[in-house]
Amino acid sequence: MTDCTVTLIDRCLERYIQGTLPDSEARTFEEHYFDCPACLAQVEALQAVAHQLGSQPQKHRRAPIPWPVRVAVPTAIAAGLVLAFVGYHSSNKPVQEANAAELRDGNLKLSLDKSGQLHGADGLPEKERDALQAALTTGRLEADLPSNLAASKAETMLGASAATPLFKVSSPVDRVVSDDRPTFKWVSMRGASGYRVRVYAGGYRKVAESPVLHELSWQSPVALARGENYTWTVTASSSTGEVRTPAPPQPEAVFQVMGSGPAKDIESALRGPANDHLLLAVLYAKAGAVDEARAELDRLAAENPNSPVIAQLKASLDQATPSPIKTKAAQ
Amino acid sequence: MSVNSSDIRGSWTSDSVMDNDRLVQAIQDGDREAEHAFVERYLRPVKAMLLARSRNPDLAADVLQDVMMDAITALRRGQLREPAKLSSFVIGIARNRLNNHYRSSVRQPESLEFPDLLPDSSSNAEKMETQERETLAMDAISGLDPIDKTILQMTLVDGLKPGVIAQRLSLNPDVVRQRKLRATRRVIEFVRRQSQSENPHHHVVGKVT
Repeated sequence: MTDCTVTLIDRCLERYIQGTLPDSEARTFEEHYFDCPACLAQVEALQAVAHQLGSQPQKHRRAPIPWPVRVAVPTAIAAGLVLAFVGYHSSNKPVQEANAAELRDGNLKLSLDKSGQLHGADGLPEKERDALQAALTTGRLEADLPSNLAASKAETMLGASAATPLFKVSSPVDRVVSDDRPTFKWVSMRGASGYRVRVYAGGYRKVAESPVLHELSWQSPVALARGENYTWTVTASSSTGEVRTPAPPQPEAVFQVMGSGPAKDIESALRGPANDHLLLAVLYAKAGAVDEARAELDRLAAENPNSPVIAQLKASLDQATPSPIKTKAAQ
Repeated sequence: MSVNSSDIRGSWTSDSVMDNDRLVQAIQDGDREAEHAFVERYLRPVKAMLLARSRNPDLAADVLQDVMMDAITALRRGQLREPAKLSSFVIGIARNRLNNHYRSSVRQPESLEFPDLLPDSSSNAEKMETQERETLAMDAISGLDPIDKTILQMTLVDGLKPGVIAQRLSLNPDVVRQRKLRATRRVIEFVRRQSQSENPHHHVVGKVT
């Protein structure tokens, strides 16, 4: 490690990975590590660590609240409420509330004042306004799994082999997808000359099959039925034969195509003039399409760098990631 | 068709004696090996940059292809006047591509077809390296003290400051800072060293001198 990396890495790396480094400093750091192998290696290493940490369950310990605080805080809150009530009623002047949260969101400028009132979304239907207000107030997105999905983390295929898989599927796995022609992605297998994707409906009925592919993704040309669960596999060909993944005893790669109702709501929001990423994130999350919800939050984050409420929403989405889906085929 | 760029190194490898002027000129002259050398040199830093700015691996992977295509196309057309600023030129293209993606109102998945005669940047070897790095990261994390792991998780994933973490974990903020620094250095060094030992012939893409 050279001196330059010690200084720059210590100053920039962590905030750069967090996305909290000011843009001008981020640009300077990028100009440096594009030509500095040592710093690039450290950026990549910490990105891999952050990615792995993000995919692991969080077990944050909360500090125990000391006894005096347990007594004093509720007392202070009660006193504050009384004073606020008296103050409000003793004054005829309107109370100008400062904004508790403010977001630029597509063509909207949303703000939540300290009384929890949402501003800037007047053109939206009441139901959607309420959803936005709830998300901004709680800092949470609720990811609901449809009732016909049974979560089962331990769902594995029957079979003998316990060898480490040579390659694996990436997405969609245990997800609701909004597109009825989903795009399937997988990681490469060393030495593979081609791949073939097969998609199955209930009862292991094959509904789509790709030609031999040389890329690591494929979009189904066939529209899959909305609200239905599917499994899929990839078979890699190499000079030593064919390898399929997932294979026993790995869990099946299961996904559901979003139902018609939520899909219509999202389609309508997409066609609307607001270009409202937060609303789309709420709708995607509600339909269980966590990946799409996260993508909308990323777009929102790009418009609002360093927004704490977006970081909270993302964290809530990570915690609410749906459990694996059990299919009719697997039952 | 994916082409493993590490398999097609010719005279234009990153450790060749070659400066930006020659590389840029060679690409403008239609030298395919120079284009592959360009992809090999910039694939990883561009990917790291896109990932840092988007925090979305799928999006970064998709935009990466477009950035490499845009850069090579622009270099072929002689649009870079000052070869010394090649890295800044690539960074600018990457930033614009990402911004355009966010501004785009088209939400359908984009078709990522390479035009003819452009080197494919979707190298399987590179993907395999990323996969290996992820596995090493997992190993590095599993070797951490549980509190250090929690501190790193709260820092890198939740974006929390040491003061807040200290409050949540009932620790002194200075202790959190020290543990965070120590854990960060430990995991980075682990991934970096293991990565080098697993890929002894691996080129760390750097400045061509």
